[in-house]
Amino acid sequence: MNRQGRRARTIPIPIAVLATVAVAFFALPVLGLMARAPWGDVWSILTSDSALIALRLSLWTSGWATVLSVVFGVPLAWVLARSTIPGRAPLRALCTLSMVLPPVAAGVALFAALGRRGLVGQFLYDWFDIRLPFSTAGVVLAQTFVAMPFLVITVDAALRQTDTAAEQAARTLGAGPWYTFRRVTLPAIRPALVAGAVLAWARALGEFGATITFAGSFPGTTQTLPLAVYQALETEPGQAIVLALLLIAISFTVLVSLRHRWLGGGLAPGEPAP
Amino acid sequence: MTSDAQPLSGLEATLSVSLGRLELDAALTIGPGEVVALLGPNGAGKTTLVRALAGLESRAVGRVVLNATVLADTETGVFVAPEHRRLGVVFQHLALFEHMDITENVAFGLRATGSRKSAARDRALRWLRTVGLDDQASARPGALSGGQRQRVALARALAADPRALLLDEPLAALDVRTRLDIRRELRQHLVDTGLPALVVTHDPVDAHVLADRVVVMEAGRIVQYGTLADLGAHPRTAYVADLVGVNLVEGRLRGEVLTTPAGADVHGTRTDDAVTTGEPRPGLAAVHPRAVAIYREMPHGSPRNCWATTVVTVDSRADRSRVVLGGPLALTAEITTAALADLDLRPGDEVWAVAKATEVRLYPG
Repeated sequence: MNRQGRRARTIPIPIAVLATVAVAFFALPVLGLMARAPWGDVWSILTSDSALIALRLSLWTSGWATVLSVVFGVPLAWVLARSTIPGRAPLRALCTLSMVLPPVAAGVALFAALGRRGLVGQFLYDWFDIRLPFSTAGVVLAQTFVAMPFLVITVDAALRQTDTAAEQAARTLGAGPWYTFRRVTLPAIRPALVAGAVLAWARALGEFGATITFAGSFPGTTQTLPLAVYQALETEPGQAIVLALLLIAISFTVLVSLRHRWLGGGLAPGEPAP
Repeated sequence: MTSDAQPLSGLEATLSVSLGRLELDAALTIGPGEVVALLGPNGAGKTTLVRALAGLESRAVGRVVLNATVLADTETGVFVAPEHRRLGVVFQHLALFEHMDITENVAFGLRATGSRKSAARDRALRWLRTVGLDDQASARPGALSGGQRQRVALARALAADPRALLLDEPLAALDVRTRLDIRRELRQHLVDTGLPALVVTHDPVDAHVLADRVVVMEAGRIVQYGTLADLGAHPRTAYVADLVGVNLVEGRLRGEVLTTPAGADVHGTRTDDAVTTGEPRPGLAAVHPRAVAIYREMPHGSPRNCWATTVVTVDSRADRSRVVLGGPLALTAEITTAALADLDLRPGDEVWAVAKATEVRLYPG
């Protein structure tokens, strides 16, 4: 913890060179986008009908994906962290698989399950006339599929770090398990819950592969912002660059705002609330 | 405090818990209004017993009865959930709700069992007044001192209107000064509530001030119970002897002589009626350090208890000094510091230790 010693330490030259290349590798694409951006047209591009439609759809679908991730992800995280059911390790792997799955494979898998001829999808279609592929609901499902694990692992880690003594104290004071969960457990993991929800939202907002595979790219119903960027690249590269910069700005803001919670490696239980 | 029609028979428990590193197997009775101190070294299973009583230890097997209500009985499959046991627990590290202010902490039990917010708040404030914290009512636990946090934990447990109290090391986290204050207050609250209470501690002074009776637990078993005076008179284990500050010698007892495995004879007075002269049986000898005298030369008049020993350590405290002796007999002698100066004792010195047979209590082990 000797700060001066640390600051005075010189960086070995090979490390300095390689690290500089790595930084340049990440910085150059952003700089490239900024260099090529038609700055004079930014406002008109961002407020154009096609951009606004894609943006609105993206916010709507990613918002719902976040809600679904929280509603189903928190109970899932609780089961993974606190229950004693057998097979929790493979269960955790299964439920976070989509984090490492190629998104296009996720899209194909969703098709196999929920498509019109899919495992479950055929019954949804035959009995309830519900068609998920190529619909806005399909976009939400594709986004939830890849985004929810981010919330699950964040909340799971927080639950496992949190001391259960307060929960046990609550029980001895007459609180049932559900009351204890709402009044003691949830407030204790709130920072992690917020961090996980924001991460899931950012992941949903940027979702591309699963969405285009499962839901297609129809303006107004399934063409979210990333899909719009991809399509614009051929016809209107200026618009593609501006929308790409918008997505980068959003992701960057999320990362910076979560620096302590996510990149910093977790939260202290009993962290002083504001 | 209670309006139940059922008889107040106190708390009775027979529990065993197998935790791998610890095999707990203990029976415990606390009469109505009685305060029992549970003493024991670290890792003896004291906290596990408290958790098992509170219903927080899923691996516990046995029976718990509170005021004639069965809270748990493995044989009949009864298991009352922790929230319905009405046992007020003060946890070792308090486990306060850090995200709530202390009024909400104290009101928690009432809110959880359906009290209206305003009613719960009023009662919580009354409890905070009782423990002297009403001026801090809207503070978070994190802003309080150790003693204040301890008071919040006690008020929180009492506000839920429990039928018995379980306090796990209630004074352990406090500095010496606060400890004295809180100990006195705690004693008063225990008397006022008149609830059966179990106080876990490893300090015999806490046990003396707070409790009517002491139960000693070692390695998951209850090794001795009684008043502290009983424990001092007849310590059963080295831990208990150490706790009450007397020398304990193990050996085989025959008549009024105890022979140690190393071959030293200890003469004393039998405190049990069954004076045997037959086969030697396992026995114990207890002698207070003040009853052990030290001589440089073998004393005249050939006292019956005269052992050749070696000085191990010398520890002076004001006018009294403790001399730890080794050899065939490990003893601690407490002599005046003036006597220590006269004898000029150093570790390694060979000396004679003498104790009157009337000062040595012999009993079966």
